[in-house]
Amino acid sequence: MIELKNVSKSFGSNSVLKSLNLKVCKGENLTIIGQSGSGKSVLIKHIIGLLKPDAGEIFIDGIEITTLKEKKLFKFIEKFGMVFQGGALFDSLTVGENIAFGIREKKDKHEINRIVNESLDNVGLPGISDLMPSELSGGMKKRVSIARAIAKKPKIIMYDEPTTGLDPIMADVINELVIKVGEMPGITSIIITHDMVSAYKVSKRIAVLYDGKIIETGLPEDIKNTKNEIVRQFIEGRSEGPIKLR
Amino acid sequence: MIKFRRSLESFASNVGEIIVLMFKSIFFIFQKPFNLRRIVNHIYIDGVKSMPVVLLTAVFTGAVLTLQSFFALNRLGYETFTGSLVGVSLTKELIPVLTGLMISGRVGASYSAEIGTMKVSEQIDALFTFGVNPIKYLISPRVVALMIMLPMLTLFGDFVGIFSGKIIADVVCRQNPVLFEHQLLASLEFWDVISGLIKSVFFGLTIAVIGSYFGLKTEGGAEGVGRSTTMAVVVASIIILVSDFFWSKILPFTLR
Repeated sequence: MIELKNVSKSFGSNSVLKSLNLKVCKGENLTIIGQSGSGKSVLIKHIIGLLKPDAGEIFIDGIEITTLKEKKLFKFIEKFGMVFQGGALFDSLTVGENIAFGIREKKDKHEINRIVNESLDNVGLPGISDLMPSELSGGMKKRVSIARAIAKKPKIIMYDEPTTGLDPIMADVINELVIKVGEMPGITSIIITHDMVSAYKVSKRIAVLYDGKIIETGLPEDIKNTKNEIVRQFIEGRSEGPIKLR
Repeated sequence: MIKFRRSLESFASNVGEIIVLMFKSIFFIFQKPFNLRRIVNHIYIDGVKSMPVVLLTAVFTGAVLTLQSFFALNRLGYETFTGSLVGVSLTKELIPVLTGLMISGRVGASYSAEIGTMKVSEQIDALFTFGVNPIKYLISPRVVALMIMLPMLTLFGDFVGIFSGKIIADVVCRQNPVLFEHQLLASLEFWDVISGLIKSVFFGLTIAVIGSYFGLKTEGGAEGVGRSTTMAVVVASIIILVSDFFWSKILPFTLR
């Protein structure tokens, strides 16, 4: 289980997270929605240990990760898989080498090849392991990034804006993949997005981030029928309303 | 006044971060796994492939130094000492410093641009999510490679520069090449060459750490990468030029 207690983070004078609280249960598919620049990426970077909060605690399976020493933290975060917004594939490595990167400690080359091919099959891109990332389209990069994340069989997988910048059909392909990965036994998925089509499709629960706090959580149906004016304005995509535009 | 104070604080903080990065990158060299493949790769790409640049620099530095020394010494009637002056100047100062500056432009800039691009495209964060320490994986192999290759390139430059000087002395200045060689060997000491090589080990460390540091500090897309690259070359070059003076004072054999 993941639990954030009173997490605060500022960059200079800009307070991004303000005493934020959130719980994510094991095996859950949680989507965090919010405006661009609302701190969604900052939030998941805290969960994965890339950023340290100014105040508050973050527990993963009962372990407080903000106090872990560097060496333990590097070991600990191996249980995470992360799909970055732009894919973040390593430019200098082939697709196959990118996917094998997370399982590089395995000695058996055949086993590594088998996992690479299986992961590429899972995302519907068989036979591209020799291509370089620069030869892939945006959608392919995202799918390879998902393949790379699932190859190491993570317990927690996080997606940073998985459908941003994709056409609606490719976005749906990614949504289906997110659902498929979420159905794998024991995997907890956290998706951050501002794409409501994607959020309704892939989530078992949705949390709304606004002004540095989680202002509402609920099932997709609950969010659709919410009375909260801020949430309503966001999900309906209106420029007029209580949300302060930056 | 407040602006000046902030600049001073920012400068002190950057210096502190660079020193910490330097010690961390050296510390991780000795931690398993040893990344030998990456070290060899950098030795080839950043060292061996820099040989043409060093060759060109050394050829013309040796040539112009010989030419100017000969003309200047000729006015005083001491042109027979051209070989001595060229040998000592090249091996102790010119080749180590100019090689450092050239490698700073070629390799330091590429370190900053590559690591900076990785930073803005979140590849550094991705490394972290695989339990890989970016300093150990990206910077330590570069530090090792340049600390090995810069002295090698300097030694190569020493030979090329002296050879080039000898040819110019013979062909352009019409000086007996045997005399040039004799004067050079008579005045050039083993420690002159070694002091140049010791400096270049430090220059290699400087270029790798500064290039990587500004790469890691990159923010703001393509413009940020450009800014980091410029800063990496400028700062590394300044450190090389300033530290060269202090090395010349500190290294005991230079006082002999």
